[in-house]
Amino acid sequence: MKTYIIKILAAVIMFATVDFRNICLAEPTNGKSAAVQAHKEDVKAAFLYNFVQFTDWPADKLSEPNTITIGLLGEYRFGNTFDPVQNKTVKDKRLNIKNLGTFRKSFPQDDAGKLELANYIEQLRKCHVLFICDSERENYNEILNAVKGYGVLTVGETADFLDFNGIITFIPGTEKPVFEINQKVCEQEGMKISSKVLRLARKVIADKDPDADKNK
Amino acid sequence: MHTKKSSAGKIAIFIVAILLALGTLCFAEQSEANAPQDLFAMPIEDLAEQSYTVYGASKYEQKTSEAPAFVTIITADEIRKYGYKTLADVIESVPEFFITYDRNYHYIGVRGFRRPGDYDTRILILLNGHRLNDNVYDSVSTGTTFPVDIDLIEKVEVIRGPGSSLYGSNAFLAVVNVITKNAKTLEGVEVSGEVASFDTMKERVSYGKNFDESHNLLVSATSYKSSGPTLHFKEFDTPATHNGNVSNDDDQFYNLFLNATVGEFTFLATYLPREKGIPTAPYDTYFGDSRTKTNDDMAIMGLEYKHDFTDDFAVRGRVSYHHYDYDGAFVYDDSGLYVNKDNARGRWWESELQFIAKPIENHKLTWGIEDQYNTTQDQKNWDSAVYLDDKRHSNNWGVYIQDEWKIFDKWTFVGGVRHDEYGTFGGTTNPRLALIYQHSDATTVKLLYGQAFRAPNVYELYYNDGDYTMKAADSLNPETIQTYEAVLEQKLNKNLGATVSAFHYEMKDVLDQYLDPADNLLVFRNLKEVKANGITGALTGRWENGLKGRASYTFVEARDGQTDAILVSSPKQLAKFNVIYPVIQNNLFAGLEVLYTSKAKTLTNNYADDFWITNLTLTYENIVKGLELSASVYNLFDVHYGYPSGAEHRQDIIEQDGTSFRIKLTYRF
Repeated sequence: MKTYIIKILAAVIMFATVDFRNICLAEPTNGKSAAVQAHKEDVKAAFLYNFVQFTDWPADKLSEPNTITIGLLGEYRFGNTFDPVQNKTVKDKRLNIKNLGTFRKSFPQDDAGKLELANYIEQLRKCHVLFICDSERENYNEILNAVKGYGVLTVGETADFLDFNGIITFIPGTEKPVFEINQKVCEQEGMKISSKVLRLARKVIADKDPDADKNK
Repeated sequence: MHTKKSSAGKIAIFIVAILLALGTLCFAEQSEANAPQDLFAMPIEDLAEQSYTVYGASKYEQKTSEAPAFVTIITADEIRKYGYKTLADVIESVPEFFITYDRNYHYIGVRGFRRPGDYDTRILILLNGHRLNDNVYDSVSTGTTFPVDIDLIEKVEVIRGPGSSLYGSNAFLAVVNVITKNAKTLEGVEVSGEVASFDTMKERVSYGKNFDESHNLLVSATSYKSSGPTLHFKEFDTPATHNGNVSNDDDQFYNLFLNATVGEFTFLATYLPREKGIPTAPYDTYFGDSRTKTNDDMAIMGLEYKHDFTDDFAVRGRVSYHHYDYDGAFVYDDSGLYVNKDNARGRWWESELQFIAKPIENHKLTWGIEDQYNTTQDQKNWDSAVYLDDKRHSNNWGVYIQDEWKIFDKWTFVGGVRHDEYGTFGGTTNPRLALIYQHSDATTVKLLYGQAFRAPNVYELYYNDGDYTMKAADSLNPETIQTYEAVLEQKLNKNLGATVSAFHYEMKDVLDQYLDPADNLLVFRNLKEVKANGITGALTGRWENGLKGRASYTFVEARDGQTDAILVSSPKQLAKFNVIYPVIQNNLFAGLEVLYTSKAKTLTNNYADDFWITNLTLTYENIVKGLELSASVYNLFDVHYGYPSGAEHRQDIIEQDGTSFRIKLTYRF
């Protein structure tokens, strides 16, 4: 019996080493797409990438000719997840994934410090999508006030993010990605999220009936 | 029963071959599209369907491709769209598994092994990580006795192979981790009502509330009642026993469920008492008396604590209290009818402390200690006299450690070992070794070896019915199993994935009942050896338009180690085909399931015929916002089939239901 199983093992290993993909005439695959599962960070990263594609910004927000920026604020957990899309062309612009580190609160009180602060805030305001890690929960008010009125699609990952006028949040502790959208704030900021994304949200906070949008 | 049995097996192979061929074709066609093959390229709808990870294989979250086992995950979405009524239905759809039902309890068979009369002792079932197997019979029945309503299950992780190196006893052939919903996945009020064949009604109301980020609550109550069909047993077809017709197949339960999170603590409580009439007249009871029934009461209160000190160091603590009452009433005719009562009382505490750390680069370490303190393990049998009044309590504990070592870029080694100590037989140590080769994100090969054990339970050790038919064993050794397995996981394209798993296992000291010639009484002994070889091919697919499905074929030969005979109740072939088809995008779904089980030997060396079962469910979502209607037909073609029964039954084969229906309405607001 043991020889029987050893033969099966050998066959399986050979099968694998000969490279199953060639036998099956396939393109080499290098992704996780057929899997029904993935690490949370990878999925969130992919969602952020999709949010760029399915959001319309006001024309002036897209005035800078070359780049669309996804800013990542807070403890960086993404490793090299974003490598496949860094510098990729999206909406005819170069996608720039920018790790902004943890939110910086204290700046020197001198003029140089003030300039530094202004530059720092400017950097946040320039983002098209700003992902704010749960590690920044204590700073929601400061961060969200800083980018208010600058057409930044803010994305969080705590259940109360929308209460602080954040726009999209991933609900933690779920087995699948679950997110909610504050369309009201989104519209105030002059952005428009595609119905394709709205339809997938668990909850959409809107001034008007959210279903009205769905039928478009 | 009348099927074309010789040809059906060939048909099964033929159909699976066609499916595999079709899969390959689709895949060849798809590859011309030349789509980028990663999450970034995936349609956002599919992204939203990504189920994160598996927990049960290593006691921490990991991708199934990284888990040291062949893993299948079934989600709440599939449970709804395939119209599954119980956890047993879910498990039956999983490759390598089969279910039998004796019209009282459902039993799980896997990889060709199921011993008739055994109460699922060789599969460990977890509820949110808390072990459920009771402390008298070692069982968790997965039919209507399962302690959580199927509607409250978020996902089911099925991890094949031995898991004793992490979990100790019962993790012998597989570990099934059931993860319930919480307020994050069920927010607001949800009411659900269903009516089904055989006067079956089920109602449920659930309420989930998120107070803030770390405080939430889900409560739910369910009531279920079924009169059951009128059955005919040819073994009892005499005028004295109503010509074999009987109608006491009634089944009812209710379920109270609570899940709350307060900061880093999660509290779970569930209670499910179930009463079932037994129509089959087992143990030579009087046929057709509605007083012959069983009551199973299971309650669990569990508290879990999770704290991450840093990204590289985390602690998990669990403590749970379990309550299990079994009350059997059996009507006998001995110059007048009388009721014999058979009871079991189980009360126990379970606790575990676990650490997860990445002490040095490329190593992920988990270690922990687990204790089970059995305050009550009592068995009683009586009518006019008391035949058994056995009171026990015991303690057992285990320590474990596992290292996931990334040796090179593509090679991972997983080594784990656990030592358990029991008052009854002493200690046992069980290792697991896995070598995982990730050739690319598309191709993974796993070579797995594991040992597992199952401790003898108090039923096997101490049950006797006053030396009428059974006597107590008093001293038994644990059963052991060694499993060798090779798994190939191959993503064929962005839509299809294939898995091939080949396994060999050897069981020793398997507990079985033995008729002692000295006194003509049955007694449990470490008697049997079992050897099995098997192979499974499985395909899973999902497409942009919402179409998704899975197909699998298993061939297994499980033999008695001494006689080389194929085991009783061990079908050699299983084929499963499941597909969810979006009839109207985002609204109407058709869930089709076709299950094939080949013939299986019975205790009298006859065969239960092979059979194909087809189930179809239509689900209409958002008729108005939050309202969902589903309609199911089970056993669509009214196939007559049955399962090999245990020795307690006069029936050699217990016949199952023909076509039945269910309509279910759910409204969330």
